[in-house]
Amino acid sequence: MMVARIARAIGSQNRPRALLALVISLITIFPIYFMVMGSISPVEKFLTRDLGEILIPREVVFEHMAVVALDPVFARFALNSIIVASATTVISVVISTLGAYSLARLRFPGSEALGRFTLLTYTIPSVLLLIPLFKVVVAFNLNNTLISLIITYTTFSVPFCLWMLRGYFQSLPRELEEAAMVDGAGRLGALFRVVIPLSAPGIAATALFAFILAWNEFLFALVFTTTADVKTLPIGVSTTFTAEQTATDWAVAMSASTLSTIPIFVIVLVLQRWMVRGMTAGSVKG
Amino acid sequence: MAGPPHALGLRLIIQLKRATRAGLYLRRLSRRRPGLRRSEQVLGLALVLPTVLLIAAVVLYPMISTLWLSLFNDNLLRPDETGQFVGLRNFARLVQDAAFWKVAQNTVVLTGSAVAGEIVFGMIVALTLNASYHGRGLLRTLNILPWVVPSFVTAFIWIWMLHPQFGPVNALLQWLRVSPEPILWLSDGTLAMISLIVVSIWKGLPWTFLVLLAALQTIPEDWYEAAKVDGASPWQMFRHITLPSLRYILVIVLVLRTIWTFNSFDMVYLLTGGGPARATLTLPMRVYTSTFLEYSVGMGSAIAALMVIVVVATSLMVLRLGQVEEWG
Repeated sequence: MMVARIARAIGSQNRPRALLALVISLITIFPIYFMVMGSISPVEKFLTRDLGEILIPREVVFEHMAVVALDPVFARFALNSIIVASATTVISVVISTLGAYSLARLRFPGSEALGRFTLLTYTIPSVLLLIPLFKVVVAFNLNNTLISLIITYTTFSVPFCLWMLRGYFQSLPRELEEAAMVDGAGRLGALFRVVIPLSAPGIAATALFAFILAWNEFLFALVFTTTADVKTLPIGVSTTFTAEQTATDWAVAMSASTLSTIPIFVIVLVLQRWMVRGMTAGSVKG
Repeated sequence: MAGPPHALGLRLIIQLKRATRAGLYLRRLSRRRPGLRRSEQVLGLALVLPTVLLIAAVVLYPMISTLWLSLFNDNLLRPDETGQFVGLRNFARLVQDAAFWKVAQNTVVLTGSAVAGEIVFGMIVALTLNASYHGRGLLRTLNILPWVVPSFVTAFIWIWMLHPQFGPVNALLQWLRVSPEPILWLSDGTLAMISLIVVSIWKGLPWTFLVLLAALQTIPEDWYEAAKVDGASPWQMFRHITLPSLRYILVIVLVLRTIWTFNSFDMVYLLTGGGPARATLTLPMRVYTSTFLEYSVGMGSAIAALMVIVVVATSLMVLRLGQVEEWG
């Protein structure tokens, strides 16, 4: 259906580009499609090496999905991921909204240098921070806790959120805030009643980035968490569901992967427009 | 130059807000533009303080600490003892170690190939998704998805895709009669590196094409119209309009992707584990193995310190080339 729609592309000059785009998209999406098929196809069918069977399965089973979804260990990982990602998102958005507004509007001595410095931080190798942070986390008895992950992820997402929101705030007409202030609202009143409501799309995009970062992060979770009760999905699933011995294990691993990825896909599909807009506005201006 | 893509949306929002309180403020607008008073500067500092404290505690302190630790021979298993001061001996050992240079070489090969692939394919994807046709929005969304797939899931998928017996990659190659024998993708040094590069490109392509696409949309359409009137071929238009307009953004994409790929740990750890026989071991992996598997905090820190020198040099290049105010 989509193929037919694209084939009817307006203007014949765009048809080759549309076809090329379609081919590239199908190749790009195949591994993800393959993951979903791997989790809902009967195991023996999937091992036949029959390409047709892999592309369009004739039979669909949900037993592997059910095994994972009903597993209390998986539920624990998922809950931990939800806690860490939500907390990171809320804290990052609050901190970076205040900071970005300050850098966008309230110029103080050194604010430009500070802006540049925060940008530099997101080019620093995370392995560089790993060793000392691990020592600090151990010193404060925070190893094997979700709090250590929340603090770390918040710091990683703040520089990026700050730059996205700063770009967004700078693009708002200054006059709106000034008018609010003339009418008696203070600087903070103008921020909360005028700037933040107007920046809702930018803030949503920022929140999305913080959430994805925290949901997907691997390295620090690998080092900071050791027991199953505090592991997040990336570490939990990759250490628990990778027996790699039998085909059934693979089907279960694919089901766990699919279930770990679905929440992110849903968020992206819902917020896609805001995400691309926020990203292009904040981080890279053409 | 046209404004950022969100400018249109912003204008719409402002139209809607006309009737609301924000709109009323706008109409009662005073001509006086108040200058920044001292109290505002204090507020500015106060608002940015949480960011500064957080970055100082979780980025700045560890960074300096790593440079400091690289001068000692601390052992991870004896956290209460401070190691001996060894000066630059950790670095001297690294420089003389042939295995370290092999790891550095692997990192350069991976980073260079992956970034080159991302930029070439990213450009092709951006160009094909910039034309106007039905279903374009859907194709854009599909192409973004690999970016948000968690890295452990990416590794799972590709390990299975590349499975010698059951993977669809080998099935396809056999069906096409390219290779009658199953190819052992992750068990051969060179093939494992190629696999790692392909997977890195797959994961990094969305970011690259999104940024290039955003930049393509700022090129005025009438430039192409004018070129067409003059009888320019598509290649000539690409060569003389598109590429020069993107020159600046291409440099930024190149430098940022290089830094991020250079620093990336997850894919190597999860897909190949640095193997087979260290053929895909990279610097970030080596920092991890030195510190957490060999317990040598000093050596791990020394490798990390060498990495940061490379990255900071590249970052300063971004700041100079990019003139941050222009794209912030």
